[in-house]
This record gives sequence, C-alpha cells and structure tokens, in this order.
Amino acid sequence: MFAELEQILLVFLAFLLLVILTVLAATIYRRAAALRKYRILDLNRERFGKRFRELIDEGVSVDEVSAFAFPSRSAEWHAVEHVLFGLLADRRYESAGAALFDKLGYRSHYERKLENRNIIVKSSAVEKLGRMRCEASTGKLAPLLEAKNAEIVPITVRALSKIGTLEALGGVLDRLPDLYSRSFVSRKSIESSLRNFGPAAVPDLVRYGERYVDPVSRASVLEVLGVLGAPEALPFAFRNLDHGDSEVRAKALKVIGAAGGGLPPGEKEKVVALLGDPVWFVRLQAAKALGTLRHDKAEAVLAKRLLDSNWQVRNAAATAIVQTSDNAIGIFLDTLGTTDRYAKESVCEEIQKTDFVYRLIDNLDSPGRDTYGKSREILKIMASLGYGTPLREYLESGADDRIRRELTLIVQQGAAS
Amino acid sequence: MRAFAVSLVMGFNYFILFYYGFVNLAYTVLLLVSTVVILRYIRKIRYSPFKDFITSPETPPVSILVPAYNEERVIVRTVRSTLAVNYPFFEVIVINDGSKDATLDTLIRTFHLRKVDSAYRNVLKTAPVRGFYYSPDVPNLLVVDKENSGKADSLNCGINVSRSPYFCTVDADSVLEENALIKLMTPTVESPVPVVACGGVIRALNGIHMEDGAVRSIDLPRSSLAMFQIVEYLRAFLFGRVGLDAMNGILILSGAFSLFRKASVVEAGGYLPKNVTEDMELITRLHRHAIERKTPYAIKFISDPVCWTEVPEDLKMLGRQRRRWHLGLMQSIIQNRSALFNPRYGKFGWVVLPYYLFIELLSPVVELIGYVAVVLSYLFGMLSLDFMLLFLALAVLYGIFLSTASVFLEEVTYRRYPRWGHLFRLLFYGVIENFGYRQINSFWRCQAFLKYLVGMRKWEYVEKGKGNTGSRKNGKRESGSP
Repeated sequence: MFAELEQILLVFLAFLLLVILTVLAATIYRRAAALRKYRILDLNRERFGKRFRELIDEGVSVDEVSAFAFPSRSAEWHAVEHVLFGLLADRRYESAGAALFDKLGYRSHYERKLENRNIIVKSSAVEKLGRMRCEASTGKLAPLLEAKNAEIVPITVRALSKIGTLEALGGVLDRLPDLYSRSFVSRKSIESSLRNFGPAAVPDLVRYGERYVDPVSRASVLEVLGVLGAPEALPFAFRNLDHGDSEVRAKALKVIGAAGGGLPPGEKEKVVALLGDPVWFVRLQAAKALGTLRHDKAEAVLAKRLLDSNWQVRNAAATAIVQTSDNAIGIFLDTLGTTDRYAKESVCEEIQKTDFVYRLIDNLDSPGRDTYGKSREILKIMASLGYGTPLREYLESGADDRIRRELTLIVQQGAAS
Repeated sequence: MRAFAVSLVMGFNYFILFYYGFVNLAYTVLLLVSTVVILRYIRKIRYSPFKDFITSPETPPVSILVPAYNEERVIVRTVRSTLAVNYPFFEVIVINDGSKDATLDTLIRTFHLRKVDSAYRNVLKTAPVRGFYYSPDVPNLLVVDKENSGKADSLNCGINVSRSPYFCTVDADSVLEENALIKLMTPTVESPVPVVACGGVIRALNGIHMEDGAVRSIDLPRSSLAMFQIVEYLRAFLFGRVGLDAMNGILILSGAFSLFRKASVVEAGGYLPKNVTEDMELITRLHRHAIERKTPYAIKFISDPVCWTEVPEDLKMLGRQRRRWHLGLMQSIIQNRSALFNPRYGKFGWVVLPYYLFIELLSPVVELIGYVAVVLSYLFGMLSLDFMLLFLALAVLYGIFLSTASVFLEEVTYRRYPRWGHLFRLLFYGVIENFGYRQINSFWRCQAFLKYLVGMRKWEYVEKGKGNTGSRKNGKRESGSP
C-alpha cells in the first residue's frame, strides 16, 4: 500500500514542482512584458502628445488627423487615448480633444463594447464614454440605468454626470425613483454624481423634485440642491418644510441654510418652528439654517436648543447664536443658570469652540457695565467648571493688565467654588 | 505498550494525511477564488470613482484614530502621514495612552498644541481622560491624553471623542499612502448594502524611504526576518483575505488600518479591552451582531489601499507578536463557540468560523505533531525513509507553491516592488521561508496554545523596526492581527 502511496506522492510532487517552475517563469515573464509594454506606451505618449498639440496649435482641422487612427489593440491606440484624455484636461485643447475621440473612432469603438456581455468590458466602456464627454452617446448610456446589475448602474450614473448635459441629467432623473427602489446604487453615489451637473441643473432638479412622490428621491434632489446652494430652489424647499418625511424636511432646511438670506419673515417662522421638531437631524438643520438667517425671534428657541439632548444640535445652536444674535452673552448666561452640570459643561464647551470665550475676555475691559458684568459671570462659571484654559493662557501671555487682574480674580473665585 | 504506540502513531498518520489534504484543498480553493477576484478588481480599478470622491462634499467625514503608547520615535511621522491623506473631510485623533516616554511632549512641541477644555462623553466606558490638546494651525488634529489602559480602551476613547460617522484605526508606527483612505471609503460609499467595516492591505515599512510623512521610494529591507514577513503578508493579504472576502467571511481586518461605521461599533459595545486581539474580536462581534438582528451588512477587504507598518526584526519580538495573534484568534473563537455550526448564523457559523478553527487555529498544532509523528513512524518502522522524505518534501513544496503564487499575484496586480532585484529577492524568500521560518512560526503558535491552557493570556508587548530590543516596561503595541 505504501508503495502505491509513494507512487502517488511522487507524481504529485513532480506536478507541484512543475507548477512552481511555471509560476516562477510566469512571474519573471510578466515583469519583463510589463516593463516592455510601459516603455513603448511612454514613448508613444510622448511622441503623440507633442504632435497633437503642435497640430492643434497650427490650426490643422480635426478631419486631417486620420493618420492617427490605429487598430484598437495596438500600443499606439492606447497611447493616443492617453494623450487625448490629457488634452481634455487642458482647457486650451479640450474641444479639440473631444472631437478627436470621435474622429479617431474611440466613441464608436466603446459604443460597440456596450453590447459586450462581459460586465467589466461593458463598465469600462461606459466609464470611457463618460470621461470622453461623448454627448452623442447619452442615448445609448441612459438605458443602461435600467440594467439589472449593481455594477453597471453607478458607473452609468457617473458617466452621464461627466457628460453633464441636460439630456444626460434627464436620463438619470427620469429613472431616479426606480434606481432607489431597486437598490442597485447607493444614495451617496447618485448624489455625488448629480452634483457634477452644476448650477445649470437646478431648474430640472426642482422640476423633477416636485414630481417625485417617494421621499427618498425627493430628499436626494434636495440634498443636491443644498450642496449647489441654489436660491432659485427656495420656493421648492419651503413647500417641503412640512413634508411628512423627516429627511425631506431636514434636506429642505439645508437648501434654505445654503441659500442664505432673502426670506420673508413668515417663512423664517416656519424654520424657527422646526427647531422643535421631534427628529434631531431636522432640529440640527434648522439651527444651522438659522445661523445664516438673521431672525430676532429665533433667539429664545435657539437658547432652548443649547440644552438639546443631541450634541450636534447644541453645537449648531451655539454657533447660530454667536453668528446672529446681539444678545449672545445674555442667552449664554441665562442658559448657564440651569442646575444640570452636564448641560452647563456643554454650553461652556460650545462657548470655547465658537471662540466666543475670547470675546468674553475682551469684554472685561468694556465700559458697558452690563456687558462687563455678564461676561465676568460667564467666565467665572466656566472657570469653576474646569473650562478655564483660555483664561489661564491670557494670564500667561495677554497684553491688557486690567483684563489680567480681572482674570486672576475670576480664576481664584472659580477655583474656590 | 509498543503495539499501542504503533497503532496510535499509525492512526495519527492517517489523520495527518487527511487533514493535510483538507487544509491544502481549502488553501487551493482560496487561491483560485482570490486570483479571479483580484484580477477582476484590478480591471475595475480603472473605472473606480475614488478620484471623484476626493473632491466630493458627499464623501462622509472620517476620524482617523491613532492610539499611541511610547511612540516618541515614530509618532510625528505617523501623524504627518495621516494629515497628508487625500480626503475631503477628516480629523486625526491621537490617543496618548499614558505613555511613559515623550510621546505627548513631542506632539505638543511639533504641532504647537495647546491644552483645551472639552466635555468628554463616556459613551463607551474608558479610563479617565487627562486632557485635550489642539492647535488652530492644524485644526483637524486633536490629541487626547488619558491614563494608561490598553489599546482597546484607547480606541474606545477615540470613538467617544470622534465626531464623524466613520472612523479609521491606524497604528502609531504605520504610514498611510495618500489615497489609502479614499480607496477604502469608495466601496463603502458605493455599496448598496451597509458596510460596517472595511480593511486594507498592510505592508512592511522596513526598507521604505520616507519624506515628509509620505513614502518616497520603495525598497526591500536587508533583514531576512523582515523579508520573510513581507512574503508572508503578501500571502495573507493577496490570497487569504481576498478569498474570504468573496463570501463576506472576513474575521480579521488589521487594526493597523481599518475603517468602521461608528454607529455599528457603538451599538455592538465598542472594543473589548480584555481581548489580546481587539480588532479581530470586534469584527467577529460585528458579524454576530448583524446576523442576530437580521440586518443586511458587509465587512469588506480591499486589496488596493496600502498602509505601511514596521515589522519586528528580531526573533524574540516576532515570537511575541505571533503568540499574541494566535492567542487572540483562540480567544475569539472560544468566545463565539455558540455560533459554531449553529444554523442561525448561516455561513458564518458553518463556513467562516469552522475555517478559522480547523485551518487557521489548529493547523500549526497538527503540523508540528505531524512532523513528530512522521519521524516516529519512520523510527517504528511503519514508514520507509523514502516515504517520509517524500511526505516532508510535499509539505515544503506546497508551501513554496503558495508563497511563489502570492508573489505572482503581486506581480500581476500591484507590482509595488519596482526593481528586478526586488522580484528575485521576493521569489527567493518565498522559497526559503519554507525551510525553518514556517516551522518556527508554527512553534510560536503552538506556544500560544500552551499559554492559553495554563492561563497566560496577557498582551505581550512588541517592539518593532530595526535593531529594537523592546521590553514590557518600555514596549509598544501594535495591531492584534497582520
């Protein structure tokens, strides 16, 4: 039996040895082949790169460069493709580069690849057509969004966004609810791509946003409008402030915050009301929006939010108060009157983070007794709660002697309490 | 008595033969799967959108957590490399875990930090925090100084302080490639299934030339021990993890460079300080947590983003490291034994855990006993010398095949080591690591078994890099797994 086993082992060993030698040889061959390939590619890239720029500078028409149309598997084909992508990135040669892709057969080549059954070949072709900004390919790319494949869909969305035309945008927006319902693409992917269409896309985004019934698509469009900071989207955003879906409300607030001022007071009241929304991220966006809208009536509600259960909301409320209120000192002092130590610490932290503490320190030299008194009181509370580092720093390196004297007393009193 | 011993050895021989066939079959399947997956991935990189995400406001913010204990020698380099990553919104949080050396002072001096007051929310309970350090010049750097309590606790502290929905752990002696983080985040953002954790490749920093916190040129180290580890890392990352990732079966993502969804980690209870390989334990718990709640999830491994980390260059330190990794693996499997072959956990219970138990955990023990059994069989006259030598040759040749195949995979994919000399050295070490190095590794891992049995389950400190002679008193910590 062992003799048979020995024979089997021997055969297996010989086979293994052969495999190892093959792997070793393949590794070395692969290195040599790759070096050769990239050397040729580099040479061609340099040669064609120079030549194309010269021809375009000389004013040679696109039709006259057909000598650079190489077979698609050749090293020259790949080198020319690299060079043309380089031209696309250069504003001076951008339009000529796009036209050359068409003229030299790259567009038709990759459009043919869209029929390929191999998903990697297909995805690669989609990506190339997008990068080439082939407007003429939009009609062939958009239907790919209906593919039942999680790989091709996000690449197609990105490709269409790189083409960047309104037709391409329509191709995506027409299918947006369907894309989300089939879960073939993440929201972040789509939102990143939609942003690429830029401000010109705003009217279409609003038009489609109004049409969408499902909250995910509507929130997604609002998110993009918020990033684009589009004032013309404000009416659409306002109409969504009382939407039943919390995410839609939050994204609508984001649009309002990003667009800045210019709102009628009645509309501002709606934003203030959302500071009391049961969902924390709606309150957060409301506080952030109020940070960019000056609205006196928001002060009291923002002050309440300094004690919100969520730290992001507290932070946004403190920032909004510092940015917009003339009575920030009074608001902070009133809030520090709470008996909840944790809440007081949170307020102290926000005062430090927003750099408001430095304004308080400067106020120790203020002629106004009210401002001086309130600032001193806040600093005293901060010192007693262990938030005295900026005070000690001023004591070490501050310039104003009067302030330093005041701070010495405050720090001593804070330590004593 | 002799008859009993002979039957025992004979029976064990058959077991070894079966086990050896089973393990190698599993490795071959993994290698084949990895080759297909990695080659597909390489082609997909060409149309990866990571460059778009670098400038996108939609890219989620990330907190990079760098736990540091006695890292004065390398901490500045690490912080500089993390601050230099290409990523739209990130903060770097260094957690000084009560270092006894000048780690904190070095950071304060280099980055002009000043102490700031901040409320510490102890969501995940940790040792007390002594202070926060910040500089307006580097607004996305925060240093937290806390009492010494271990790496896991420091990471929990970092999670408490972090303000981003994702966090990335980086060892204090590691260097990130500038696009590493965005490459890790891209599949996370793109995945329609929530990705709760995602890990990248770790490579040996030894021999690499650095400038301003970034890798300037790649070279190989002179140390043979470091060379063995480079080949070993290639094998572990390029075919081991890629293969397991294909079935969402990753249990080990290196703590030296992994990305996590913070909400999922907090929900699962954060890192457990009592485990010696906190990273592996967390990943295992994240699997179980998601399966028990029946929530769709993915834990990914991406073979492209690279983090360079120092590897030990002396046997003593390497032994400590390997014992600790194996001890951690053992702890994780024992803690999760209720999921083993439990239908409720599906492939996690039926494939992933058994793979780690029978192949990763037990193989060194079986291998060492196997060597002894084959020699004993020869001495008892049950095996001919020819058969014994053939069997040993098979074991060694299969190891050589796996190592050279890993170098081949590296060559057809990332080709990070650019010179011909690098390639030949990698192939050379891929061959000779099977004559001694592999066996020493198995020995260390067996030692971990014994240590576990006698209750010695504490963290062994490891000093890495060139010419280090670390000790427990002034040692450094590194990730719980490669």
